[in-house]
Order: sequence, then structure tokens, then C-alpha cells
Amino acid sequence: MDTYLLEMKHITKKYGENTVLKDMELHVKPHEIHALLGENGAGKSTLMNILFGMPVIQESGGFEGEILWEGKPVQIDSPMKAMEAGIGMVHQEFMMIPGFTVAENIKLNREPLKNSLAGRIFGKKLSIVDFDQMGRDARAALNRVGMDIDENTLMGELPVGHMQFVEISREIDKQNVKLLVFDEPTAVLTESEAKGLLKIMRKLADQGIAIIFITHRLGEVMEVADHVTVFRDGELVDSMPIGETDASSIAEMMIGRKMGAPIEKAERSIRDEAPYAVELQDFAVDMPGERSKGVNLKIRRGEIFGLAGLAGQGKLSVANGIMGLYPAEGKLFIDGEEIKHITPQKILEKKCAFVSEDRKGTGLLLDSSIEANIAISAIKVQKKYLKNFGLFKLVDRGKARKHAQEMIATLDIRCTGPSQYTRRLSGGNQQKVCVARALSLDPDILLVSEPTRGIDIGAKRLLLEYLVKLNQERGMTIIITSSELAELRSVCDRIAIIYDGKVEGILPADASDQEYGLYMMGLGPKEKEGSGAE
Amino acid sequence: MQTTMASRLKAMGKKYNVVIFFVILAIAAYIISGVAPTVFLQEIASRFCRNTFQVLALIIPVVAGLGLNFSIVIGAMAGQMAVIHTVSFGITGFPSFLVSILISTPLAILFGFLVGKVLNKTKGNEMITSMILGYLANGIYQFIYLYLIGTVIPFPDKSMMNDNGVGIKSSLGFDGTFRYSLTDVWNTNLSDFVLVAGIAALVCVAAYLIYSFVRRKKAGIPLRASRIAGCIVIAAVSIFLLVLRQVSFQAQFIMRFVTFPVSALICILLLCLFNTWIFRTKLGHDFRAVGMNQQVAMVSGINVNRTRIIAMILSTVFAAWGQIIRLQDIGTMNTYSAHEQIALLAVAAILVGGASVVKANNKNAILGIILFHSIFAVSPQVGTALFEDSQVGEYFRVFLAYGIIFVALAMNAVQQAKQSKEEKG
Repeated sequence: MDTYLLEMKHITKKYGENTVLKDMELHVKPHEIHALLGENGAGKSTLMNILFGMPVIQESGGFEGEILWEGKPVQIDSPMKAMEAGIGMVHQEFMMIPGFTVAENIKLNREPLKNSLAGRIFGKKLSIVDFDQMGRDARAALNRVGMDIDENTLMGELPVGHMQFVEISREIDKQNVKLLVFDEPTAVLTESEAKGLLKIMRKLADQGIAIIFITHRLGEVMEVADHVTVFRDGELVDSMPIGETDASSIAEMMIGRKMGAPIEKAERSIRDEAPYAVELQDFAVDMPGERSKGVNLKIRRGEIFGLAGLAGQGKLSVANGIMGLYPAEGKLFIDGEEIKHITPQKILEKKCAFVSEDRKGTGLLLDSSIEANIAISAIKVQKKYLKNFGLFKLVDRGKARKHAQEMIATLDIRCTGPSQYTRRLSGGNQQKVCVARALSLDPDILLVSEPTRGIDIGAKRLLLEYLVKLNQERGMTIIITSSELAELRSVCDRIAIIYDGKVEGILPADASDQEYGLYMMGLGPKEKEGSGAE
Repeated sequence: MQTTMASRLKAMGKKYNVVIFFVILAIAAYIISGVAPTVFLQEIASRFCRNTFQVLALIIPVVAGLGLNFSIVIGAMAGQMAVIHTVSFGITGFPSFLVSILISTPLAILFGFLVGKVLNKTKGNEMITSMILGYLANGIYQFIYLYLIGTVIPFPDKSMMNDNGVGIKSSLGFDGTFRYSLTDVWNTNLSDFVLVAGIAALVCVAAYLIYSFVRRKKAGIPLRASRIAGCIVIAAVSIFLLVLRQVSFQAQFIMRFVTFPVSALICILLLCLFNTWIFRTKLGHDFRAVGMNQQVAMVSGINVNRTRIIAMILSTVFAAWGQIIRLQDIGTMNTYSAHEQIALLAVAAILVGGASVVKANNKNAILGIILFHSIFAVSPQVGTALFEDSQVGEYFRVFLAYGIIFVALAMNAVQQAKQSKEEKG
């Protein structure tokens, strides 16, 4: 039997009450490219943080379980220790200093030093840095990954695609590196750059370095990995050599069935003849970290429409772009009318309302009362709850309070009364206040982003049920963006999967796990047919 | 070729826009004020030697990402404390300078350490925090020297204390004791100085060029154009001054009446050399890394907090030494306010020299202090000339100091905004 380089056994990690890793196992051999797969929040990053001894783990109370490195138990409680052991990390967001040259970045904090008098007396901190040697070392490392960029260029002037290679050069320049973690290395690369990267990974593995490969691109896993481990909700689903499985079954393992009882929906005769409520043509939104690059969608009136996809693929930007919160290009039609120069004011006037995913940032005025929070949008946009005194207008507190009380009752907001500050409310109740505010605009189209993030199961269910009720009783069009596929599938009529800023495909709620998995990993029909969605 | 030349000039103009603006302002101010050249040169020369050390103390924190260190007033306080006690021991002459340095250093290290600790807890707001810390320290300093001296802390020299035996006098004179303790070590007139320094500069430039030419040739790398340009500028200025001194009797006459404290200048040069040296060491490299990106520096194993504290300690120590150099040349001290304007003036000077909150070097400091003081020195006269009221002159000076900081910061900000726009577009 082969000896393992790294064994992580029975790893359990809690953040407060929240268990993010449960009895996790990971076994990595030398010479192996080991792919880690799982949806966002499945626990991959937490596991890597533990492996890397990141401070965030210690600060939140450490973890349970055991790590064996080359067969011996080790305590990795700081990034320094991890580095000394020979664990390197190629980060998702580049850990580079743009104002330094390529060579300086590669040798960062491992600069070759000259033997100088001051250095001998006062320690190595005061030794002169040997910039010539630094250049030569960097050159050698760059050659190993086959890059012919000039080591004296400033990092900030390099194209994004090259930065990844510099980062890799830095890791392999460390003399003792035995394990390299690649955290979504191909996310920002073009296709040909990604191909080059995979080749280098293979080359490094052949040189004896073990590689942990975290990615959302199933295609790359099939191409390069030797072994694959799948996580779901902080638990190990399965781990096997790549030869014993295939893309479809991996996709199925990742998504799994984790749905509660589906929410009761009255039979509806949708609506193929209903006019389009929202139409997007080549809609691209410049939202940092969630960029979309050209979304085409047609959503019918009275539909509950879901937007799914992994984090960073751009699903959140669609609703934000429609609301005019981030600059967007392309065409947007609401009820058949094109909206040019989108501003939040215009969209709100078109009877659209938005419940933001950023509850504490753009969503709520935390130091205002519940009633003020519920009423504020309606006051601003529709001039509701105002008493007109001719020269000026005042807020009609009585009316606003009455409305708030109604909302508190219907949405079951747990609070001491309408005058309580929203900061004191639990996450679920804060979310309900956001929904109540959107509803007091009496919208025809309701956009909801991440409605159930960070709230408990009971509240989740109640919220989703209420959304369905709104849809059925008032015929409201509802567009839900969510990272939780299961909840989308329990309420939506159709779900669009956003991948790489575009619609990978649109699926009915009852499509198979396998199909959903493949779409989310970018192996939808788009690739097979080579054409756009819809 | 012409277009590249033009575009290069344009880029240069952009890069040095702050400096160019203040050069023009300085020339205009000089012409309007109608100040005599001897007076003008004397003002610049003595202010240069008094203040440059403290301006140079600002560089390390800027590079280490702590912004403009307004808490150098705390270093200045350490310097003043050292001077007060040194004089009270009855030490005079050059030894009193050395003793002051000796006493101030541990104090400044302690203060720098404490300030660094606080700034590590308020990352992102270093500048305003260091400013407020300066005010806080001022309160403590006043409490000690106004109240505790004579009541709790025994003090040997009654002549320095208030008549009731509590607290130090609000104004101290150091004539015959501490005054000129450094200046008098080597003090000459500008004419002689130009002769010696001009020739020394030419020799140094020649030696440097030969040395680096040989070294580069061995390594097979051509000389950097910017270095050659720098050498040419230094050589040209030296030759110009030497020739001017030889040819024009009037110029030589003016120079003869301007005294020039060479010893202070040597201290300044040593600090410049220290700054250059430290940025080539591992520690200096860490300063740069931490200054550019703390997150990345931390992940690569650099102890960010420790590095920042070291930067603050160095800056505070230099500020203390700078204050001692300043006070011995001025010869009097307002016990409770001599430190107050230090940070403001130093920050204004380095900004005028083209530094920003994230970038500063020796050149910025030297150029800045010359420019700033050529405006600052004549500004009362400018105020008087413009408004025909000598009262206005002093106000004009204060207005100018703050105005300069504002203009320099605003120009930097505008340029940065433009740059980031260009990068995006």
C-alpha cells in the first residue's frame, strides 16, 4: 500500500453554533493530483484554511481531528508552520504585490541576503538584499513552469493570466515544497491559459509534488486529476480514483437530494401565453466578483423564476443590474417596454421591488425602527404615508404604523413592536422586514436575492411559502436568486443556471440532480452544441 | 521621435505636477516679496539645516504604509524632554548635544513603540490617529512639565523653573549652554561651503559614475538613464554655483554673509544615507512589502505588526534627534508649544517635494524643504506687499502652511483618480 503524504482525519469545525465541517477525511499521496469538489459552502475553503493554519481557524476556536504529515501527527497552527512543512498555496485571489517586480514577488520574504557587517552584528533583518541573486532565482523558477516573462517587470503591468504562473513559480521556488494547493486557479484564465496551467500541474505532479486541486470546472477535473473527493454540506460524500467514476456521477454526488417536503403549490396553468414581464438581451453587469457577461432571459408574467449558479459566476449581478445598482450594458425590457439608462428610481416606478442579498449593507437601516424600515421605500417612491400640508409634507406615522403592524402579523416578524430597532432582530426577522418593505411598494415584479441566507429552517420555509402565496394570490412575478439550489427547486417554475456570466441553460424544477450538477459545472448543452441558451 | 519626446515631457509634467506648481509659486513669491538675496539665502540655509532632519523622519512610515506620521510631535517632545534635563544638569557645548541625543533615544523608542501599538489597532486610520495621539501626548507632556516638576519630580536647576517652584518656565533660553552645541562644531559661510562642497560633489559624481560603469560592465547591464541624468543634474548645479562664485563678485559677496552650519548638514546627509541603506536591507524590503499590501505580506510570513512598530520607532527617534538639532540652532524654546507645529511643517514640506501618502523618498524631502521654506520664509513679506498690512503677513503664513498641504493632497488625489480611470478605460 502506498504511503500518504497528507492525511486529515475526522476533521470537525464549528463556527459558533454552525457546523461547517463534520468528520471530514482527506488522504493525499505524493505524485497525485487530487481534486476537491463541492458546491460553495461545502467546506472546501475551511478545510484548506485548517491545513494552512490560517489565523481565522484559531481565532474561532480551533478544530477537532487529526492531521498526519508524512505519517506523523503535526500541529499546524500558523501559515509559517505550514510553509515549513512544505505546504504551498496558489491562491484564488492573487497574493501579489503589484508595485513589486516579478522577481521580488517570487522571492517575497525569502529574499537572498548578502553577508554584510551590519547583518552579522544585528541579525539578518539588517542584511542587504541581494537583488542580482533574486533575479537569477526567479528566472530559474519561471523557467521551471515554462514562462518567458521578464523577471524585472512590475507585477501590476502583467496581464492577469500571467499572474497565476508567477504565483506558481513562487511556490515551487520554495525548496522543500511537497504539497501545492490550487484554489480555483483557472477561474480567471482564458481557455488556452487554463490548458497551459493544467499541463504545468501535471508536470509538477510528475516531479513528485502532490497537488490539491479545487475547482468548479468538472471538465478540467476529468482531464487532469488522479483522484477525486466530493464534499457536500461539510460532509464527505465519496472519494475515489478518477478511473472509477465519470462526470455525470460526480455531478450527481455534488448536488444530491437535500430537499424537504416540496412546498404546496396549487396547480397552475402556466402561462405559456402570458406576456413577458422581464426580458434581458445580452445583459452584462459590472458587479465586482459577480460579473455577468451577456445574459439572455425571458421571464413570463406570473412566473416564479429561479437564478442559480455557483458563487462568482454572476447570478447575483442579474437582479442588481436590473435594479440599477451596478452599471449594466445590454437591453432590459419590463412589460415589453425598453428601459434605457437604468436607475433604481426608474425601476421602482415600474413597480419592481428588490430584496437585496446584502441585508446589512444596502438592505436595512439598522438603527431605525421596523416601521420606518418598512415604510421608507414607499414614502420615497410612491409618496405613500404622507400627510400633505400644502407647503410641505410630513410622514403620517399613524398610517405607517398600521401598515407595519399588518406586515408584522402576516409575515410573523418576531419583535417587541413596530418601533423596535432592526439591529436587534434575528437574521430571519430582518429578512422579513426587507420583504415587507419591498411589498409595501405593492410591486408587480419582485426580485429576491438570497432570501434564506443565514436564517433558520422554520423561517426559511415560512418565507418561501409566503412568496408562493404572493405569486398565487396577487399574480406577482417573482425572480429568486439563490445559492441554495434545493430551495429554488422547491418553489420555482423554471430555473436558469448562470455559469461564467452567461446562462448555461434553463431547467424545470424537476430536472435531475445530474443535469443540475453538469450545468453548474459548465458542462451544460451550451458546450455540446456550441450555441447560446434559450 | 518628436512625439515620444513630447509625450515623455508630458508624462514628466504629470509626475512632477505638484513640484512644478510650487516651483512657480516660490519664484512668484520671491519676486513679489522683494526680500534681499542675502536675507533670503540665509533664511533658507538655516531653515534647511534646522528642519530637514525631521522631514526625513517621515519617509519610513510612508513607505511602510502608515501614511504621513503626524505623531512626530511625540518624538519632538522626547527631544525637548532630553534638552530640558541635559541643560538642567549644567552640561554645555558639544557634550550637551550628545547627552541630549543619548537621553532622547530611549524615550523616543518607548514612545514610538506605544504609538506603533496604537496604530496597529487602528489600521486604515493611521494619519488621523497619529494626529490625535500628538494632541493627547501634548496634554500629558504639559501635565508633567507644568505640574509634576518641582512637586513630585525633583529638578536641580531653579532658574529654569517658574518662580513658585512648580513647573518649567514657558520659555527657555539656551545662550551659553546648549545653543549652537552642534552648529558650532563646523560652521562656515556659504561662499566657502560652495567651494568645498561643489568640488566634493563633482568628485563624488565622477567616482560614482566610474564605479558603477565598471561594475555594470562586468555584469553586462547598461547604466540606467535616470541615474546618469541625476548625476548630470548634480554636476551641473555644482559647476554653476562654482562658476557663479568665481565670476560674479556680487554673488560671492552675498554668499560671504550667509552662514552655513555644515555639521547639521552632515547629520542630514547621514540620515539620507541611512534611509537609502535601510531600503536595501531585508527590513527595508519588508517595509515596502507591508506598505504595499499587508495581507500579502502577512501570508508570506512577514510579521506585519512588528514591522510597522519598527517603522514608527525609527521615525519617532529621528524626530526626537531632529528636534534637538533644531533647538540647539534656534537657541530658545517655547517649552509647551515648540513641538506643536513640527508635524504640520514637515508634512507640508514633504508634500511640496512631490511625496504622497503612499510614496516618499529622500529627494522629495530635500526638494520639498527648500521649496516650502523659500515660500514660507518670504510669505509675511508677500502678505504685506499684497495687502499692505503687516498684521496680515503672519496670518498669511499660517494660511499658506495649511493651504499647501491641502493643494498638494488635492493634486495627488486628482492624479490618482485620473490614473485609476485610465487603467479602467
